[in-house]
Amino acid sequence: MSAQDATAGRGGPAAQAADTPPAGAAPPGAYPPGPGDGRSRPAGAAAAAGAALATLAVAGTALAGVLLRPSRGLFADSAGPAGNTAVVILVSLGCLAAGLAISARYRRSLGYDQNLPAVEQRLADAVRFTLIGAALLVPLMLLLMHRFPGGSGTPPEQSRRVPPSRIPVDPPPVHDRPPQAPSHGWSFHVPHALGYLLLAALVLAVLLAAYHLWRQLRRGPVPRTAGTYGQAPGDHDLLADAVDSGRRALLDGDDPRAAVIACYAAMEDSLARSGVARRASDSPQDLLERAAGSGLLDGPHATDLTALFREARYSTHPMDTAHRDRAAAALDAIAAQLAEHAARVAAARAEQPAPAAGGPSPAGGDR
Amino acid sequence: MTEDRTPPTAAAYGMTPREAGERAAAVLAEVRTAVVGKPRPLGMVMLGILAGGHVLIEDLPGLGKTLLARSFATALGLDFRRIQFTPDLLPSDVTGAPFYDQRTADMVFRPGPVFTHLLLADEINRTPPKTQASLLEAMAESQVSIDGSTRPLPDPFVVIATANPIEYEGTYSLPEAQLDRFLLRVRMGYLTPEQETGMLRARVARAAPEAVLRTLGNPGELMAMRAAVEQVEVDDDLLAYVVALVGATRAHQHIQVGASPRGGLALVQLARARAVLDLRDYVTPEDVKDVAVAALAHRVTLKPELWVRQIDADDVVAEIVRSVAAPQTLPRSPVAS
Repeated sequence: MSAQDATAGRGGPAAQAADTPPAGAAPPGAYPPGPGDGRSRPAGAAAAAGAALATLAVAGTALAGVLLRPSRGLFADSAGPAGNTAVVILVSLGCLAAGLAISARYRRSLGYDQNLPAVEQRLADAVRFTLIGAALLVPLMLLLMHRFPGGSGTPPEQSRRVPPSRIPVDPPPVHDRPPQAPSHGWSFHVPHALGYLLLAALVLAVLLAAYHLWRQLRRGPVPRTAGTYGQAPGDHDLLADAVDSGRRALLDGDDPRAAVIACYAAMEDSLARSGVARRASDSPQDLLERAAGSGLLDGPHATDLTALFREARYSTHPMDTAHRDRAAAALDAIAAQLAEHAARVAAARAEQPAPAAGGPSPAGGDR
Repeated sequence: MTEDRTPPTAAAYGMTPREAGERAAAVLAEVRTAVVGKPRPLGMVMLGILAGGHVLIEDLPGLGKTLLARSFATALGLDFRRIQFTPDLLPSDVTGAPFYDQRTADMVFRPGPVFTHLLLADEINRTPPKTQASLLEAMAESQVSIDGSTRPLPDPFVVIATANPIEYEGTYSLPEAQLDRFLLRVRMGYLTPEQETGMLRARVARAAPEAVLRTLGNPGELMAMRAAVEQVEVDDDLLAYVVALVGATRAHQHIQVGASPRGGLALVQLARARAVLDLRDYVTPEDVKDVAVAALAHRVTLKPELWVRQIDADDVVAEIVRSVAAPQTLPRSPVAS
């Protein structure tokens, strides 16, 4: 349903996530580090898509850089690392293998039985097809754009003769040799227009990948919060669990002090599951203010429970059942408030079926 | 040497922390009628007085520092003296000096202005270090040694010193060791336009330069309030939190010299005083966090390069407070009712 769902869906192939990633594959952040650790999970399929696109773009650009030999002009006919046929064949094979491996891994990691939101589904489809296409096209283009010395119709002596004459007298040889000159044999020359198109496509891919990455980085914390609310039906259960744990503590122990502290801990737990987690440096008042600021809690109950907790936790005042009852009543009221809030959020989400992934989060205060 | 000290009369009042807090709140309310729109600095000065320390007020001229000190003295019913520190002030001008009495043909000690309950040391950074040191010794020891005899200062003895933070010609900024003697440092800050208008309106309405304050207490009562602060309990986890905060100032990347152990003591005392002002007899993490900047910022020495980046010790300590983990929700050791 959301980015986090997609991430959870990839929990299935979590075992494969432990595999050694192929060389040049997407960055480690694109794969789930392991199940159960919600915080360290990636932003989801979109992040994986972004990483894959970025990888593709970078690899493509690098290949283009090697191939085009900018020091010699766009279609100069020799030199550069790619001038060696063996290197070109090796690079092509490597590209084919790496591309297929990345593509297969991406498909496995995405888990297509999942129902992604429309935007992410389209994005994932685009990445899938691009990866397959790139795995085949990049090696093919490498081979096509390479001038094989043996099979070429260009007389070897000509190509050997050209460099010495070109170095001292630069302009005349250029005029002597038009770019499309060798047209016999099976030597295939890509027209300039196609080369520029390829360049443009590469630039576009780089731009797209950069834009995508920028978006992913900018809205980093949002998907996590959205994911929290994305599980709206489960929220009630989680809240209920937290409140139940507080109630159990109330019923089990005979110690009112421990019971009051447990009630407060239950409230803290409920707030955390509603999107306002306590930070390590937070005092009870800080947490209360943040919860109130995010619209989760208002009214006297939370304040009352916090005051009771402070007294129970930091004083040696005798605590009795009256304190425990007040804490229990406050916890019930708070649980009702949180459940009501979760229901409101769920209703709001139902009214807006496919919110933009970068849209505002209901718990925007929890940053 | 302490036998002639005025015995504290705190026991006669037998105040609980709640009662002390209520008295302190009444004093604060009275002071607020004279010093308009400064609830936070006023509260911090009250905490310093309650905690038994000395207060350094650091800000620009004309922000009400002197008025604040005088108002506290009046409302608390304390004997009040003021020393305007100048470059030619001598230590004997602060502490007093023996002089020859021709009638008795004897040396008689004439006490200086330091022999008072509440001393306003105005512009303390305008006097040379020798004179500053004479006052700071009195602050630390609550006594003055002159000509081989030690004379105790009255109890309570509170110094409210003001300092101008801007380097002017002829100022001697207090060294760190002397700054450490102040329990807390308070900054006044400017009023908002609305508050400033209200202040001017109040001045016009009362047709007098300053408001006349009622006296709500006496020295014995202040001692009782201080004794009530001593009744405030502090949980072990909070003490560990204080130690962690102080320790963090010593390890922070921007700080050259961190807070001293005296900083930790000051933090605990101020937190206890804040608990009293909040009508509690136990300290909470909020108390510690609230007073941490005032208690620690003037005790740390920032690295010199930060001066260029306009980073203040207050900012660094505030960042430390935001980063150091507060006590956990569940106590480390099980508690029993």
